[in-house]
Amino acid sequence: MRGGMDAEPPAAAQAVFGSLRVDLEIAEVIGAMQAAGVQSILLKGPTIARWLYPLGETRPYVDCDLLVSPSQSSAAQAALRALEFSRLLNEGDTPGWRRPAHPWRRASDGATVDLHRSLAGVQTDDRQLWQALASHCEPFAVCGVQARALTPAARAMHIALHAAQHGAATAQPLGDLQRALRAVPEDLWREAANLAARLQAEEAFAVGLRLLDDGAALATRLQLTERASRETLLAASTPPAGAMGLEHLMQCRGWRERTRVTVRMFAPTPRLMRCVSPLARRGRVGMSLAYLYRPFLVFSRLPSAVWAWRRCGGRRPGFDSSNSRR
Amino acid sequence: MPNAPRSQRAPQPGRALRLRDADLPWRAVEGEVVALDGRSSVYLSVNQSGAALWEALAEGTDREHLVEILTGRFARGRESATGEVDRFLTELRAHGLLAG
Repeated sequence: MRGGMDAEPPAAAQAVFGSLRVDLEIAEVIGAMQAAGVQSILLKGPTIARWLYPLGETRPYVDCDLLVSPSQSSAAQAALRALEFSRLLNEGDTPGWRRPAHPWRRASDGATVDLHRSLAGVQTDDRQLWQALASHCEPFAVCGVQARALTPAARAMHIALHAAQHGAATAQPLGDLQRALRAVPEDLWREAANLAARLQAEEAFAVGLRLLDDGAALATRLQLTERASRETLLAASTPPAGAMGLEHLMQCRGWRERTRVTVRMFAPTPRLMRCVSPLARRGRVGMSLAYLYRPFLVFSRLPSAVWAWRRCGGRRPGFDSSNSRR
Repeated sequence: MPNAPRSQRAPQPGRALRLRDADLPWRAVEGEVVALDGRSSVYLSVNQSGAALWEALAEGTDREHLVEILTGRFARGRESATGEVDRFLTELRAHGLLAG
Protein backbone atom coordinates (compact mmCIF):
# COMPACT_ATOMS: atom_id res chain seq x y z
CA MET A 1 0.00 0.00 0.00
CA ARG A 2 1.43 3.34 -1.05
CA GLY A 3 0.32 6.64 0.34
CA GLY A 4 1.08 10.24 1.10
CA MET A 5 0.33 12.60 3.95
CA ASP A 6 -1.16 15.90 2.77
CA ALA A 7 0.78 15.47 -0.46
CA GLU A 8 -0.56 15.75 -3.96
CA PRO A 9 -1.45 12.42 -5.52
CA PRO A 10 0.20 11.50 -8.80
CA ALA A 11 -1.17 13.46 -11.75
CA ALA A 12 -2.85 10.43 -13.31
CA ALA A 13 -4.83 9.79 -10.13
CA GLN A 14 -5.79 13.37 -9.38
CA ALA A 15 -9.18 13.22 -11.05
CA VAL A 16 -10.02 10.10 -9.07
CA PHE A 17 -8.85 11.56 -5.80
CA GLY A 18 -10.75 14.74 -6.59
CA SER A 19 -13.94 12.70 -6.82
CA LEU A 20 -13.14 10.89 -3.58
CA ARG A 21 -12.71 14.24 -1.89
CA VAL A 22 -16.11 15.28 -3.21
CA ASP A 23 -17.55 12.06 -1.73
CA LEU A 24 -16.36 13.20 1.69
CA GLU A 25 -17.91 16.63 1.11
CA ILE A 26 -21.18 15.04 0.01
CA ALA A 27 -21.28 12.93 3.16
CA GLU A 28 -20.54 15.98 5.31
CA VAL A 29 -23.21 18.16 3.68
CA ILE A 30 -25.93 15.51 3.59
CA GLY A 31 -25.14 14.56 7.18
CA ALA A 32 -25.55 18.19 8.21
CA MET A 33 -28.79 18.50 6.24
CA GLN A 34 -30.16 15.37 7.90
CA ALA A 35 -29.21 16.68 11.34
CA ALA A 36 -31.19 19.83 10.48
CA GLY A 37 -34.18 17.75 9.39
CA VAL A 38 -33.73 18.63 5.70
CA GLN A 39 -34.52 15.97 3.14
CA SER A 40 -32.37 16.07 0.03
CA ILE A 41 -31.89 14.08 -3.16
CA LEU A 42 -28.35 13.54 -4.41
CA LEU A 43 -28.08 14.19 -8.15
CA LYS A 44 -25.41 13.24 -10.71
CA GLY A 45 -21.84 12.71 -9.44
CA PRO A 46 -21.41 9.37 -7.69
CA THR A 47 -24.98 8.29 -8.53
CA ILE A 48 -24.03 8.23 -12.21
CA ALA A 49 -20.42 7.13 -11.74
CA ARG A 50 -21.32 4.00 -9.78
CA TRP A 51 -24.30 3.17 -11.97
CA LEU A 52 -22.88 3.52 -15.47
CA TYR A 53 -19.11 3.32 -15.12
CA PRO A 54 -17.92 -0.17 -14.22
CA LEU A 55 -15.33 -0.72 -11.54
CA GLY A 56 -12.04 0.32 -13.05
CA GLU A 57 -13.37 3.20 -15.14
CA THR A 58 -13.51 6.73 -13.87
CA ARG A 59 -16.14 9.37 -14.28
CA PRO A 60 -14.80 12.42 -12.43
CA TYR A 61 -17.02 14.92 -10.64
CA VAL A 62 -16.07 18.14 -8.92
CA ASP A 63 -19.06 19.19 -6.86
CA CYS A 64 -22.11 18.02 -4.97
CA ASP A 65 -25.55 18.47 -6.58
CA LEU A 66 -28.44 18.38 -4.12
CA LEU A 67 -32.15 18.90 -4.74
CA VAL A 68 -34.21 20.05 -1.77
CA SER A 69 -37.89 20.73 -1.28
CA PRO A 70 -38.91 24.39 -1.72
CA SER A 71 -40.46 24.26 1.76
CA GLN A 72 -37.06 23.36 3.22
CA SER A 73 -34.92 25.65 1.07
CA SER A 74 -34.27 28.12 3.90
CA ALA A 75 -33.28 25.35 6.31
CA ALA A 76 -30.98 23.83 3.67
CA GLN A 77 -29.30 27.20 3.13
CA ALA A 78 -28.88 27.64 6.88
CA ALA A 79 -27.26 24.20 7.09
CA LEU A 80 -24.80 25.17 4.36
CA ARG A 81 -23.97 28.47 6.08
CA ALA A 82 -23.31 26.57 9.30
CA LEU A 83 -20.72 24.56 7.34
CA GLU A 84 -19.17 27.87 6.19
CA PHE A 85 -20.51 27.70 2.65
CA SER A 86 -21.42 31.00 0.96
CA ARG A 87 -23.87 31.45 -1.85
CA LEU A 88 -22.06 32.68 -4.96
CA LEU A 89 -25.03 34.23 -6.78
CA ASN A 90 -28.49 35.56 -5.93
CA GLU A 91 -31.53 35.74 -8.21
CA GLY A 92 -30.94 39.46 -8.76
CA ASP A 93 -27.51 38.74 -10.23
CA THR A 94 -29.03 37.03 -13.25
CA PRO A 95 -32.27 38.89 -14.12
CA GLY A 96 -34.33 37.29 -16.85
CA TRP A 97 -32.88 33.87 -16.04
CA ARG A 98 -34.34 31.86 -13.19
CA ARG A 99 -31.60 29.35 -12.52
CA PRO A 100 -32.56 25.79 -11.51
CA ALA A 101 -29.64 25.70 -9.06
CA HIS A 102 -27.35 28.05 -7.21
CA PRO A 103 -23.69 27.35 -6.46
CA TRP A 104 -22.41 27.54 -2.88
CA ARG A 105 -18.72 27.50 -2.13
CA ARG A 106 -16.57 27.08 0.95
CA ALA A 107 -13.52 29.33 0.81
CA SER A 108 -11.36 27.21 3.13
CA ASP A 109 -11.19 24.17 0.86
CA GLY A 110 -13.00 25.14 -2.36
CA ALA A 111 -15.80 22.62 -1.75
CA THR A 112 -18.79 23.42 -3.96
CA VAL A 113 -22.46 22.50 -3.60
CA ASP A 114 -25.03 23.16 -6.32
CA LEU A 115 -28.25 23.56 -4.39
CA HIS A 116 -31.11 22.74 -6.75
CA ARG A 117 -34.66 23.92 -6.58
CA SER A 118 -35.36 22.38 -10.01
CA LEU A 119 -33.73 20.73 -13.02
CA ALA A 120 -32.86 22.37 -16.33
CA GLY A 121 -35.60 21.74 -18.89
CA VAL A 122 -38.37 21.23 -16.32
CA GLN A 123 -41.27 23.66 -16.67
CA THR A 124 -43.44 22.54 -13.76
CA ASP A 125 -43.19 24.38 -10.44
CA ASP A 126 -40.62 23.45 -7.81
CA ARG A 127 -43.13 21.92 -5.41
CA GLN A 128 -44.54 19.54 -8.03
CA LEU A 129 -41.02 18.63 -9.15
CA TRP A 130 -40.04 17.74 -5.59
CA GLN A 131 -43.19 15.69 -5.03
CA ALA A 132 -42.62 13.76 -8.26
CA LEU A 133 -38.92 13.06 -7.67
CA ALA A 134 -39.28 12.30 -3.97
CA SER A 135 -41.39 9.33 -4.99
CA HIS A 136 -38.66 8.18 -7.42
CA CYS A 137 -35.83 7.78 -4.91
CA GLU A 138 -33.81 4.96 -3.43
CA PRO A 139 -31.16 4.71 -0.69
CA PHE A 140 -27.59 5.55 -1.70
CA ALA A 141 -24.66 5.31 0.70
CA VAL A 142 -21.78 7.76 0.53
CA CYS A 143 -18.91 7.34 2.99
CA GLY A 144 -21.18 5.76 5.58
CA VAL A 145 -23.97 8.34 5.21
CA GLN A 146 -27.32 7.08 3.91
CA ALA A 147 -28.37 9.55 1.24
CA ARG A 148 -31.20 9.34 -1.30
CA ALA A 149 -30.67 9.19 -5.04
CA LEU A 150 -33.02 9.02 -8.00
CA THR A 151 -34.22 5.63 -9.18
CA PRO A 152 -32.77 4.42 -12.51
CA ALA A 153 -35.72 5.69 -14.57
CA ALA A 154 -35.59 9.14 -12.98
CA ARG A 155 -31.82 9.15 -13.30
CA ALA A 156 -32.12 8.29 -17.00
CA MET A 157 -34.53 11.18 -17.43
CA HIS A 158 -32.11 13.53 -15.70
CA ILE A 159 -29.21 12.34 -17.85
CA ALA A 160 -31.16 13.23 -21.01
CA LEU A 161 -32.12 16.64 -19.57
CA HIS A 162 -28.51 17.24 -18.57
CA ALA A 163 -27.34 16.44 -22.11
CA ALA A 164 -29.89 18.91 -23.52
CA GLN A 165 -28.78 21.54 -21.00
CA HIS A 166 -25.13 21.39 -22.03
CA GLY A 167 -25.45 20.41 -25.63
CA ALA A 168 -23.70 18.43 -28.30
CA ALA A 169 -20.22 19.78 -27.72
CA THR A 170 -19.92 18.89 -24.02
CA ALA A 171 -18.30 15.51 -23.57
CA GLN A 172 -19.31 14.27 -20.13
CA PRO A 173 -23.11 14.66 -20.33
CA LEU A 174 -23.07 13.04 -23.77
CA GLY A 175 -20.85 10.26 -22.48
CA ASP A 176 -23.30 9.62 -19.64
CA LEU A 177 -26.18 9.57 -22.13
CA GLN A 178 -24.37 7.14 -24.41
CA ARG A 179 -23.79 4.73 -21.54
CA ALA A 180 -27.34 5.11 -20.29
CA LEU A 181 -28.70 4.31 -23.76
CA ARG A 182 -26.66 1.08 -23.70
CA ALA A 183 -27.39 0.09 -20.12
CA VAL A 184 -30.99 1.14 -19.48
CA PRO A 185 -33.76 -1.12 -20.83
CA GLU A 186 -36.51 0.42 -22.92
CA ASP A 187 -39.24 -0.01 -20.32
CA LEU A 188 -37.25 2.20 -17.95
CA TRP A 189 -36.80 4.79 -20.70
CA ARG A 190 -40.57 4.71 -21.18
CA GLU A 191 -40.97 5.34 -17.45
CA ALA A 192 -38.43 8.18 -17.79
CA ALA A 193 -40.43 9.68 -20.64
CA ASN A 194 -43.64 9.52 -18.58
CA LEU A 195 -41.88 11.25 -15.70
CA ALA A 196 -40.56 13.93 -18.06
CA ALA A 197 -44.09 14.52 -19.35
CA ARG A 198 -45.40 14.84 -15.79
CA LEU A 199 -42.70 17.46 -15.11
CA GLN A 200 -43.43 19.32 -18.38
CA ALA A 201 -39.90 18.48 -19.47
CA GLU A 202 -40.73 16.36 -22.50
CA GLU A 203 -39.24 18.82 -25.00
CA ALA A 204 -35.87 18.96 -23.27
CA PHE A 205 -35.96 15.19 -22.69
CA ALA A 206 -36.56 14.54 -26.39
CA VAL A 207 -33.96 17.08 -27.51
CA GLY A 208 -31.41 15.54 -25.18
CA LEU A 209 -32.06 12.02 -26.48
CA ARG A 210 -31.84 13.19 -30.10
CA LEU A 211 -28.28 14.42 -29.58
CA LEU A 212 -27.23 10.81 -30.22
CA ASP A 213 -28.34 8.47 -33.04
CA ASP A 214 -29.37 5.75 -30.60
CA GLY A 215 -31.27 8.33 -28.60
CA ALA A 216 -33.04 9.61 -31.72
CA ALA A 217 -34.15 6.08 -32.58
CA LEU A 218 -35.40 5.62 -29.01
CA ALA A 219 -37.23 8.96 -29.13
CA THR A 220 -39.01 7.79 -32.29
CA ARG A 221 -40.02 4.48 -30.69
CA LEU A 222 -41.30 6.33 -27.62
CA GLN A 223 -43.19 8.74 -29.91
CA LEU A 224 -41.72 11.77 -28.20
CA THR A 225 -42.58 15.26 -29.30
CA GLU A 226 -40.55 16.82 -32.09
CA ARG A 227 -41.45 20.33 -31.01
CA ALA A 228 -38.85 22.32 -29.18
CA SER A 229 -38.53 25.89 -28.02
CA ARG A 230 -35.73 28.09 -29.24
CA GLU A 231 -34.26 28.15 -25.74
CA THR A 232 -34.12 24.35 -25.56
CA LEU A 233 -32.62 24.03 -29.05
CA LEU A 234 -30.15 26.80 -28.38
CA ALA A 235 -28.87 25.20 -25.17
CA ALA A 236 -28.57 21.83 -26.91
CA SER A 237 -26.38 23.39 -29.60
CA THR A 238 -23.76 24.43 -26.99
CA PRO A 239 -24.07 28.02 -28.14
CA PRO A 240 -21.32 30.65 -28.10
CA ALA A 241 -21.09 33.06 -25.18
CA GLY A 242 -23.87 35.62 -25.17
CA ALA A 243 -26.41 33.58 -27.13
CA MET A 244 -28.36 32.38 -24.07
CA GLY A 245 -28.26 35.89 -22.67
CA LEU A 246 -29.77 37.14 -25.92
CA GLU A 247 -32.53 34.51 -25.64
CA HIS A 248 -33.30 35.55 -22.07
CA LEU A 249 -33.43 39.18 -23.25
CA MET A 250 -35.89 38.31 -26.00
CA GLN A 251 -38.09 36.46 -23.49
CA CYS A 252 -38.47 39.60 -21.37
CA ARG A 253 -41.94 41.04 -21.03
CA GLY A 254 -42.11 44.77 -21.28
CA TRP A 255 -39.52 47.46 -21.68
CA ARG A 256 -38.74 47.71 -17.93
CA GLU A 257 -37.64 44.10 -17.67
CA ARG A 258 -35.79 44.33 -20.98
CA THR A 259 -33.95 47.42 -19.78
CA ARG A 260 -33.00 45.75 -16.51
CA VAL A 261 -31.62 42.69 -18.29
CA THR A 262 -29.73 44.83 -20.84
CA VAL A 263 -28.14 46.90 -18.08
CA ARG A 264 -27.05 43.72 -16.29
CA MET A 265 -25.65 42.36 -19.54
CA PHE A 266 -23.28 45.33 -19.81
CA ALA A 267 -22.80 45.89 -16.09
CA PRO A 268 -23.25 42.67 -14.14
CA THR A 269 -23.27 42.75 -10.37
CA PRO A 270 -19.83 42.44 -8.73
CA ARG A 271 -20.81 38.96 -7.52
CA LEU A 272 -21.49 37.82 -11.09
CA MET A 273 -18.38 39.57 -12.38
CA ARG A 274 -16.25 37.60 -9.91
CA CYS A 275 -17.86 34.38 -11.14
CA VAL A 276 -17.35 35.01 -14.86
CA SER A 277 -14.19 37.15 -15.00
CA PRO A 278 -10.80 36.08 -13.60
CA LEU A 279 -9.73 39.74 -13.89
CA ALA A 280 -12.56 40.81 -11.58
CA ARG A 281 -11.18 38.56 -8.84
CA ARG A 282 -7.96 40.55 -8.67
CA GLY A 283 -9.03 43.22 -6.21
CA ARG A 284 -10.54 46.63 -6.92
CA VAL A 285 -8.24 47.42 -9.85
CA GLY A 286 -9.05 44.12 -11.52
CA MET A 287 -12.78 44.64 -10.98
CA SER A 288 -12.59 48.18 -12.45
CA LEU A 289 -10.70 46.94 -15.49
CA ALA A 290 -13.19 44.10 -15.93
CA TYR A 291 -16.08 46.58 -15.96
CA LEU A 292 -14.25 48.82 -18.44
CA TYR A 293 -13.64 45.85 -20.71
CA ARG A 294 -17.17 44.46 -20.37
CA PRO A 295 -18.94 46.48 -23.13
CA PHE A 296 -16.24 45.57 -25.64
CA LEU A 297 -16.63 41.93 -24.66
CA VAL A 298 -20.42 42.04 -25.10
CA PHE A 299 -20.19 43.70 -28.51
CA SER A 300 -17.46 41.34 -29.68
CA ARG A 301 -19.65 38.36 -28.84
CA LEU A 302 -22.79 39.81 -30.41
CA PRO A 303 -22.38 38.64 -34.04
CA SER A 304 -21.82 34.96 -33.18
CA ALA A 305 -24.51 35.10 -30.48
CA VAL A 306 -27.08 36.56 -32.90
CA TRP A 307 -26.15 34.05 -35.58
CA ALA A 308 -26.51 31.11 -33.17
CA TRP A 309 -29.78 32.51 -31.82
CA ARG A 310 -31.31 33.00 -35.27
CA ARG A 311 -30.10 29.58 -36.42
CA CYS A 312 -32.12 27.86 -33.72
CA GLY A 313 -35.44 29.29 -34.89
CA GLY A 314 -38.46 28.91 -32.65
CA ARG A 315 -41.20 26.38 -31.96
CA ARG A 316 -41.43 24.20 -35.04
CA PRO A 317 -41.98 20.54 -35.86
CA GLY A 318 -38.88 18.45 -36.32
CA PHE A 319 -35.55 18.90 -34.67
CA ASP A 320 -32.76 19.71 -37.05
CA SER A 321 -29.91 18.07 -35.21
CA SER A 322 -28.07 17.06 -38.36
CA ASN A 323 -25.25 19.47 -37.59
CA SER A 324 -24.89 18.47 -33.98
CA ARG A 325 -25.96 14.85 -33.60
CA ARG A 326 -23.31 12.19 -33.04
CA MET B 1 -26.72 -1.14 -8.29
CA PRO B 2 -24.66 -3.69 -10.15
CA ASN B 3 -21.63 -1.44 -10.55
CA ALA B 4 -21.56 -0.02 -7.05
CA PRO B 5 -18.40 -0.58 -5.08
CA ARG B 6 -19.01 -3.52 -2.88
CA SER B 7 -18.57 -1.27 0.16
CA GLN B 8 -22.08 -0.02 -0.55
CA ARG B 9 -23.54 -3.47 -0.04
CA ALA B 10 -24.29 -4.92 3.41
CA PRO B 11 -21.29 -6.62 5.03
CA GLN B 12 -21.48 -10.39 5.21
CA PRO B 13 -22.55 -11.68 8.64
CA GLY B 14 -19.98 -13.59 10.66
CA ARG B 15 -17.06 -12.00 8.85
CA ALA B 16 -15.02 -10.22 11.50
CA LEU B 17 -12.74 -8.06 9.35
CA ARG B 18 -14.17 -5.08 7.55
CA LEU B 19 -13.06 -1.71 6.24
CA ARG B 20 -14.27 1.38 8.04
CA ASP B 21 -17.54 2.74 6.53
CA ALA B 22 -17.20 6.42 7.30
CA ASP B 23 -14.79 8.90 5.70
CA LEU B 24 -13.10 6.34 3.47
CA PRO B 25 -14.14 6.73 -0.15
CA TRP B 26 -12.31 4.51 -2.63
CA ARG B 27 -12.34 3.39 -6.24
CA ALA B 28 -10.97 0.48 -8.18
CA VAL B 29 -8.94 1.93 -11.07
CA GLU B 30 -7.11 -0.22 -13.61
CA GLY B 31 -6.88 -3.16 -11.25
CA GLU B 32 -5.64 -1.11 -8.30
CA VAL B 33 -7.51 0.63 -5.52
CA VAL B 34 -7.18 4.34 -4.76
CA ALA B 35 -8.60 5.64 -1.49
CA LEU B 36 -8.72 8.83 0.51
CA ASP B 37 -8.71 8.67 4.30
CA GLY B 38 -10.88 11.66 5.10
CA ARG B 39 -9.82 11.72 8.74
CA SER B 40 -6.13 12.16 8.08
CA SER B 41 -6.18 13.55 4.50
CA VAL B 42 -3.90 10.71 3.44
CA TYR B 43 -4.25 9.35 -0.04
CA LEU B 44 -3.61 5.66 -0.52
CA SER B 45 -3.15 3.39 -3.46
CA VAL B 46 -3.08 -0.38 -3.31
CA ASN B 47 -1.59 -2.74 -5.90
CA GLN B 48 -3.49 -5.51 -7.59
CA SER B 49 -3.18 -8.21 -4.97
CA GLY B 50 -3.85 -5.67 -2.23
CA ALA B 51 -6.85 -4.44 -4.19
CA ALA B 52 -8.36 -7.93 -4.12
CA LEU B 53 -7.92 -8.03 -0.34
CA TRP B 54 -9.32 -4.50 -0.04
CA GLU B 55 -12.47 -5.35 -1.97
CA ALA B 56 -13.06 -8.42 0.20
CA LEU B 57 -12.58 -6.32 3.33
CA ALA B 58 -15.09 -3.80 2.02
CA GLU B 59 -17.75 -6.53 2.08
CA GLY B 60 -16.61 -8.11 5.33
CA THR B 61 -14.35 -11.12 5.43
CA ASP B 62 -12.02 -13.10 7.65
CA ARG B 63 -8.30 -13.82 7.69
CA GLU B 64 -8.67 -17.29 6.20
CA HIS B 65 -10.69 -15.99 3.25
CA LEU B 66 -8.05 -13.34 2.56
CA VAL B 67 -5.33 -16.00 2.49
CA GLU B 68 -7.45 -18.05 0.06
CA ILE B 69 -7.74 -15.04 -2.25
CA LEU B 70 -3.96 -14.77 -2.54
CA THR B 71 -3.36 -18.50 -2.92
CA GLY B 72 -6.21 -18.98 -5.37
CA ARG B 73 -6.02 -15.87 -7.55
CA PHE B 74 -2.37 -14.87 -7.28
CA ALA B 75 -0.69 -18.27 -7.01
CA ARG B 76 1.00 -17.48 -3.69
CA GLY B 77 2.21 -20.28 -1.49
CA ARG B 78 0.21 -20.61 1.71
CA GLU B 79 2.99 -19.43 4.02
CA SER B 80 3.81 -16.45 1.82
CA ALA B 81 0.12 -15.55 1.48
CA THR B 82 -0.42 -15.69 5.24
CA GLY B 83 2.53 -13.38 5.84
CA GLU B 84 1.32 -10.97 3.18
CA VAL B 85 -2.21 -10.87 4.62
CA ASP B 86 -0.92 -10.24 8.14
CA ARG B 87 1.34 -7.43 6.95
CA PHE B 88 -1.54 -5.86 4.99
CA LEU B 89 -3.90 -6.04 7.97
CA THR B 90 -1.23 -4.56 10.24
CA GLU B 91 -0.82 -1.63 7.86
CA LEU B 92 -4.58 -1.08 7.64
CA ARG B 93 -4.86 -1.11 11.44
CA ALA B 94 -1.97 1.34 11.72
CA HIS B 95 -3.88 3.74 9.46
CA GLY B 96 -7.12 3.16 11.38
CA LEU B 97 -8.86 1.82 8.30
CA LEU B 98 -10.52 -1.24 9.79
CA ALA B 99 -13.88 -1.08 11.50
CA GLY B 100 -14.20 -1.82 15.19
